[in-house]
Amino acid sequence: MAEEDEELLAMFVQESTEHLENIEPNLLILEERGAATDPEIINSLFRGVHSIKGSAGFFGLTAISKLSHTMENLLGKVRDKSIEPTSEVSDSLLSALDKLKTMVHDVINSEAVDASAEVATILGILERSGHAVPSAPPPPKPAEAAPAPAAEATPAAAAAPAAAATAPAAATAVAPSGASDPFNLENFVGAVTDALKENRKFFDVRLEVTQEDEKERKEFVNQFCQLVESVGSVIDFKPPLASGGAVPSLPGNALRLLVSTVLTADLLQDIVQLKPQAIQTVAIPSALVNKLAPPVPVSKPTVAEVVEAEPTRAVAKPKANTYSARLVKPRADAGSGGSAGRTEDKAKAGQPTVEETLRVSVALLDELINMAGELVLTRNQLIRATSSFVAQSPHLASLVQSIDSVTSRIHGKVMQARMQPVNVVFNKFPRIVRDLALKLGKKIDLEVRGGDVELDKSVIEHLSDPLTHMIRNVADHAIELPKDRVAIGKPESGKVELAAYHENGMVNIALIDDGAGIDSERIKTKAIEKGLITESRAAEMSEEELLDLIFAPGFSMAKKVSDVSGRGVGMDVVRTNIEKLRGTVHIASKVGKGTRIILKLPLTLAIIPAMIVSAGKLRFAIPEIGLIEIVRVAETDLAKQIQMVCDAPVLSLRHTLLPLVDLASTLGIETQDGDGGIRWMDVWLRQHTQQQKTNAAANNQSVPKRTSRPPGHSISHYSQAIYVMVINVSGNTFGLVVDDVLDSEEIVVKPLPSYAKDTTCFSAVTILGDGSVASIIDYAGIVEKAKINFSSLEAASADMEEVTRAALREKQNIILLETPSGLVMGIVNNMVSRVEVIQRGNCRMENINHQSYMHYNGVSFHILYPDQILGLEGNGYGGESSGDDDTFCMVVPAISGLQVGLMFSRIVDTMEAYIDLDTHVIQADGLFGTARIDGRLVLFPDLNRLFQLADIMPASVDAPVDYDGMKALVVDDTPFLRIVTTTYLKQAGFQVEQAEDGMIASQRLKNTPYDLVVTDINMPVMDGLELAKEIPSTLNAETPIIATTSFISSDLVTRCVRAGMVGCVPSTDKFRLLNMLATLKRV
Amino acid sequence: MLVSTFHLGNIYIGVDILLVREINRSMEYTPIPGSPDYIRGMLNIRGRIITLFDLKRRFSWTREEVARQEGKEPLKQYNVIMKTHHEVMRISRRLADTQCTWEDPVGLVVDRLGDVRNVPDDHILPPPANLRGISAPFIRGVVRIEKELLVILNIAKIFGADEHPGGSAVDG
Repeated sequence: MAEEDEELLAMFVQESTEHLENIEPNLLILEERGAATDPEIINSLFRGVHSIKGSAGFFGLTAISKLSHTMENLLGKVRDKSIEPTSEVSDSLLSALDKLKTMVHDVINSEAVDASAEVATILGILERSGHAVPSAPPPPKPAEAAPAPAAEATPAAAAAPAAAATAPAAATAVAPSGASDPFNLENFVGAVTDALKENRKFFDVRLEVTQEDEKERKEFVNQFCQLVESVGSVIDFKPPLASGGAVPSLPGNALRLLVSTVLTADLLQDIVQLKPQAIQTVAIPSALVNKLAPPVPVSKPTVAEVVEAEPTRAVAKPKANTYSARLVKPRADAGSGGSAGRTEDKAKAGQPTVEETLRVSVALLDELINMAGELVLTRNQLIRATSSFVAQSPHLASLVQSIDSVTSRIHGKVMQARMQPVNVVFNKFPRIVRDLALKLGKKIDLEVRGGDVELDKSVIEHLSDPLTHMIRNVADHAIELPKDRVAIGKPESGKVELAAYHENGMVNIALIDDGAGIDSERIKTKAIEKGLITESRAAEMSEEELLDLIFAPGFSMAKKVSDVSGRGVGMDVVRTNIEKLRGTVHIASKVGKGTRIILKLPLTLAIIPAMIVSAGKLRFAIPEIGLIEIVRVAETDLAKQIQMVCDAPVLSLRHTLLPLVDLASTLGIETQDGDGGIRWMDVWLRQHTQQQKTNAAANNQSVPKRTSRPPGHSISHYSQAIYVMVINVSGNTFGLVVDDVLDSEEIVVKPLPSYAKDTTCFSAVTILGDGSVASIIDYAGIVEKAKINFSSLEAASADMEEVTRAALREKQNIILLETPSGLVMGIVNNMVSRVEVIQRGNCRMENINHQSYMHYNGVSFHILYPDQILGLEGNGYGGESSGDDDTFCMVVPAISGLQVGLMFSRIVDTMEAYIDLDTHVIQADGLFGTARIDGRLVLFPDLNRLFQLADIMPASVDAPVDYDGMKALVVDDTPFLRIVTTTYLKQAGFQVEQAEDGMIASQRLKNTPYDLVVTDINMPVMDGLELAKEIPSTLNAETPIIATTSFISSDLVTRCVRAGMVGCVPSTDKFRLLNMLATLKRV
Repeated sequence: MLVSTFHLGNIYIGVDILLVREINRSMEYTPIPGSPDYIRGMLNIRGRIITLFDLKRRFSWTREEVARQEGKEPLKQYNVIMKTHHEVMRISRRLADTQCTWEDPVGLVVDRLGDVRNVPDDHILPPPANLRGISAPFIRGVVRIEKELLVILNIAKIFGADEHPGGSAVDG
């Protein structure tokens, strides 16, 4: 028995909690709309509080019963419009509600909770409005009061509610048994209509009026009426009252009242404190119901509409019956509460097939999910195992197929069962915002949207804290005081929008306000102050990165600490919590306009998309959330793309250096192919360190070495292609190196065995399709284990940027040629018209006036030895004596009008290569610079300059226009071409500055005036055409722009001109560049 | 008490059969990098993830010892999967609280299987001081059976009530 009681009490708590949850939003609506509140909402409030009171009485919970009774009284007055629902009223109700919540949540100790203040406040309101309750709240009458009136009622009375509950038609006949003269509801069509739409019922209440004095009688009846009016309304009296409410002398001292109320007979009896027999149900005649009842079709959302539509429709008989049957059971209705719930109820009332719900314990659900997960795995294995037999037995194929599809469906549905609408969390925010607004003296309108979007229960559970924190922050910091808002022309009350919606298979929760916004400058100052970032770092940070700092630990923007927020913990916790849910946080803000924070959350934690990778022969699952991209580095590119910074390997990825973490070595996995646990990375590192030492030694000689990149051959044969999983964790990006990427799978997340909890690198485990177990990588744990120091890397990144960027530039097609003196020179293909390999016997050499000429194939060439002109002699100049070769080669440059040949002894190679040009190591007039290609030092001559030095420059170019003192900006992402163009312009007299891409150029153009801009077209970040479009908005709006490109076409020229450029010339073509310049000068 | 017996190298060990859930042939397992060396890895048995304990490592046998004890034959090892605290609880709360304190499904790796022996409680003796291969805390007692000495393991200790926070939970 005790156990049963406990169970009942638990049910009471659960039920009451549901009521309380519904009461709160409705109270807020009441507060907001005041007198204009939909009466249905007030009714629903009333019923909710009343149900709690009723059940509490049953359990003898006096404190709860008393408090709810008081609330009910006040609500009754509000409903009757005898008390205006002022803010005082709603305030008192809300604080009483809080007390009530406390009591209900700890129901055992509820008696000890002191609610006298709340009760007194409400009584005060009642008293002031002259509606003080005549009698004190009912003394608790445990067990006997509410639930069991029928048992002790006389047979006549007992018949009434029971009959009414079954068939209204029959009830008419039975109803007023001992009474002489039943009330005829036909006379009160208006009241009945109202009653039908508000779910009210009619009762015949028999009141003993024993007072002799007429005045006393009137007083007594008045008081009683007031009492009744607190829960319903008195419609008629029998015998009728005289004018002025005088009560006539009564036969048998009995005054009968026709009362209309939402309460059931037992509850009404509880309030009016009469004997059960004195109250009898007056059923509404079914004919009347049919005539007046709302025509119940499902899609009648509001009460108003229902009423307007009703009189013409006298159909839907069975539905009407259902409806009136429901009339006597309002408590079931109240359970669903809320205005939305109400409408739904109405709809349901007309629909015999009501969608039912069932309470299921979460443990059972979890077990089901687990088993469904296993079923999926077994299914996978079954498919694999049967695949070879399927061909032989077609029947098996269809069986397997149907098991396959049923399994998928079961799994899907079971997962769905765990989903909950975000409203579970959202619902509490209107109240929180209201309280905060009051406390802070602000006006805030909270708009909640998308509350029906569903998320996994576990996600929902962990969403409450971070969201609450964010909302507090918004109320505290973002929304300005009303006067401040008005002063800057904003509406007085701040708007906060909380919305949930689906996007890309994730659920986004957006919190948008129109408040003050976040000043990134202030964040910067503060972050520097707090030592979170350095000043130099801060200068480089983008607005978004700065905003992101508010999620950094120990960062609080509040100017003063309040008890609402601003204790310096918070937003970092928000991010940590969201990331724990495998979600991400994004923030955007405009000062003065507002802020938008978006949480991107997975639908569920139980199943996540993941990449299955292998490292050191083991397989791991890498969650796709946070995984930005996968980069495959071929073994031949390892040397080029992976470098060492601060003794840590980094990958050059576009414009950044990505710190690399080798998964296998971080986890300490030994590779099992017998190389003693040394992984390629280690080998690489060892090789590399050695290489650096060698380099250091070698640096004494003239061998240039700018980058710390090891030569390719030192690692290539140790290694294989690797995969770099580019991962973002807490705003930092790193590359996780794995051996192979095997698969992309939706994996079922299972908890990590407790024995593996010490290894922070895993968050959970999963079972793969083949039944084996794989650990799920925890990014944060890996970062911690690998001890990546992101900040030092950032600094290094800046230093290395130039080098890295250089390495990423366009490749050039070059010809490598050896001079007779043994030097290797590189000439870019498009500077060359042709290369001829000439048999020594087929030509004739001649020296005229200290100039060498060669006659070959009937043509004469002026020949030059580039090394001679540059004044660089290799290992002994040998002219014709260079080797035993009987051939040599001549390069004819692509300069029109010149019959010049450059003499080389042989072609070494033609290749496509990145030219990382060094202009310092060997400096000579006529030399662009040097570069290391394949371990060789290659000189890049400036052909045009060579010919000038040799005094054979074509006349057309040497009509020098004087560009002295003019300033030019050369924009090119390829260092080689940048240097080439720069050299040309310098030779023409320009003062030249360089920029690596359009973005950098446009920055400079904003501040510095130039006389000329020469830009490459194809560049990362911002290309030449975009740059041209930017320029008109800078200081340099009038500055001529010339484009350079490796592939010129008429279409491109048109596009350049359209973009506002003067024209387009091939890169490295000095003449066309200078010619174009010349046309400008003339203009 | 019924004891499920096994061979580990050349020693003869046993555990209370009430604690054993199932025994299967050694199968492919997944190592957990970073875990103690006596954790052999994880195993999926019908959707349950079992943490496998390598008894030899747990008893801190050196490589030489293992080699000496195992002999030259390649071993076909077996996994002894234990019941969890909850499962034992259904049989006996006392047994669960004293002998089976772990919450996670766990298993032991043994070399060969032996018979099920009925061992009267009063036949169990304290371990002799000169017992080699297993340190005292892991032993619940020894029983002389025919000519062999059966070592009854203190399983709760092996699954490390003191060393692993995860294994120490006692469900009231």
